[in-house]
Amino acid sequence: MSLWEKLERIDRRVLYGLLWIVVLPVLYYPINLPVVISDLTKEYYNQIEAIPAGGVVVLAFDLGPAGWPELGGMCYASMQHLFTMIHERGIKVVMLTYWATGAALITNCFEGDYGPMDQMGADYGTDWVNLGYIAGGEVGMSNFAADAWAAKPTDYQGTPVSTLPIMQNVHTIQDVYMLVSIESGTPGYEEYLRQWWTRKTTLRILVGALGVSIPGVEPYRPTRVQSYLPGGKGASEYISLVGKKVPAILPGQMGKKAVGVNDALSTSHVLVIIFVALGNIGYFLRSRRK
Amino acid sequence: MTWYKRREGPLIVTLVVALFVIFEWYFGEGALIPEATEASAEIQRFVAFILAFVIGVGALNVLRIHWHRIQRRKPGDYSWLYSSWIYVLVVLFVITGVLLGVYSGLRTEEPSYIWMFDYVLTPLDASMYSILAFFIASGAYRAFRARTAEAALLLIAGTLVMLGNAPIGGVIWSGFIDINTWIQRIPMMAGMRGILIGVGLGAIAMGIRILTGRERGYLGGGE
Repeated sequence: MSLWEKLERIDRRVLYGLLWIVVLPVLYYPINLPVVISDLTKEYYNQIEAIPAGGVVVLAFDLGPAGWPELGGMCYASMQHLFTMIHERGIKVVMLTYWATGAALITNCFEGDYGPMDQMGADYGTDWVNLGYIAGGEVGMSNFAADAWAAKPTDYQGTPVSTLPIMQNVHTIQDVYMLVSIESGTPGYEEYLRQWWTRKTTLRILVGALGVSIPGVEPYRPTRVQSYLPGGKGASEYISLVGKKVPAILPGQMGKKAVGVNDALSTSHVLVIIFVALGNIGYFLRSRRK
Repeated sequence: MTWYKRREGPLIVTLVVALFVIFEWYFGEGALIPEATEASAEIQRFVAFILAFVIGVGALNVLRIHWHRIQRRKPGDYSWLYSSWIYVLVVLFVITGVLLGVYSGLRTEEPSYIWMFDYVLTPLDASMYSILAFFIASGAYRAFRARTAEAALLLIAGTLVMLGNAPIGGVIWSGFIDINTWIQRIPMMAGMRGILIGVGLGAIAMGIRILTGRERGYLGGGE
């Protein structure tokens, strides 16, 4: 086998091994490559900053543990950002999930299992609430849009929503100003668009999605989905922005992880591009020799 | 065959329920017959209950399949051990998540359930998904070959999008981000919107076929 043929047919185990080598060290010892904030991330951030006083925001964690390494940072940063808005502008935050596995992820987030979560004096039940898991997928979304109390009669601890002050002003989707949906599949933004946006076309929607899901979200922007965070890159950028407002987030587990993910994304992409280039060089040189 | 075992029964139920919900969408709340909204909401709540119940049925079905595998184990084949392990985990999750969670009143905050979720389910689930990174890297290396003009176009677009998406791309040259944005907002969006419109039209056609009883695949059981 000639050198060119070898370049064209590098064993996949070599690629796997090199991927380990370029990803693992920077995850544990980040090299702190600069984070360039994209327009999408700025828009996501600005949309949250522009929530009017008293506006109700639904923060949905529609994901499972599989999506957590990529989306966890933006879940955490979104919650922290919304807590600052509760403090600054008195907005109301309703947390929920249509994924059974999402309930525990919400709990872990606000309990600070992933780093310091500054609730800034926000009162549970008055300023924010965790409704936990709502069954039914897309039908559950439709139920919530028509009658939130009937769709989820209790919060995640079994407290009737009728006794929670925050829920006195949340009966249907008409009472919600914004949806922030961080998701890794179905049900997700498409179901929200069908069941929520069609009932309230002024509903603001922000999406945090896996990198591979972004081509599906883009066609809905900016009229239906105002902005979105694309995967690990979006999470890193957004944490950097939120970190300017809440500095405590950066030295925490999520802040450190975001820097590591940012670096790992760069090194792994560069490796793939190098291999693609090598494969093509081998292919061209072998073809020319023939 | 009794009437409820025939296909006509489920087809009629589907037609009536679907027409009712569709009718409510156009003529319910704020329109001709506001009362229809509450009835439609009741039907949809019922569907949510059924879907929640189906999770239990699914779990029982998984256990049934693995019970058969354990029963039919052969000498030298130890795959039945994995089936046994499923039983162990299902029992553990039911005990911690349902029994302990409900009786302690802590629900999803029950410490042993959270421990299993955080230190068993989360790492396993995340690892399975993370393996994709290796397959995608290997797949990109093999697939991105400029064998034809179309393949060369794909290679160039793919490389530019990779550089635009990787944080280092913007650091090397900010133009990579602009190019990536243009590719995603113009050609990709045009293609995706075409696909979405096609999917929408297909869904309408499928809905009409289901309503008129021409599409019966959802009833199961074959012809």
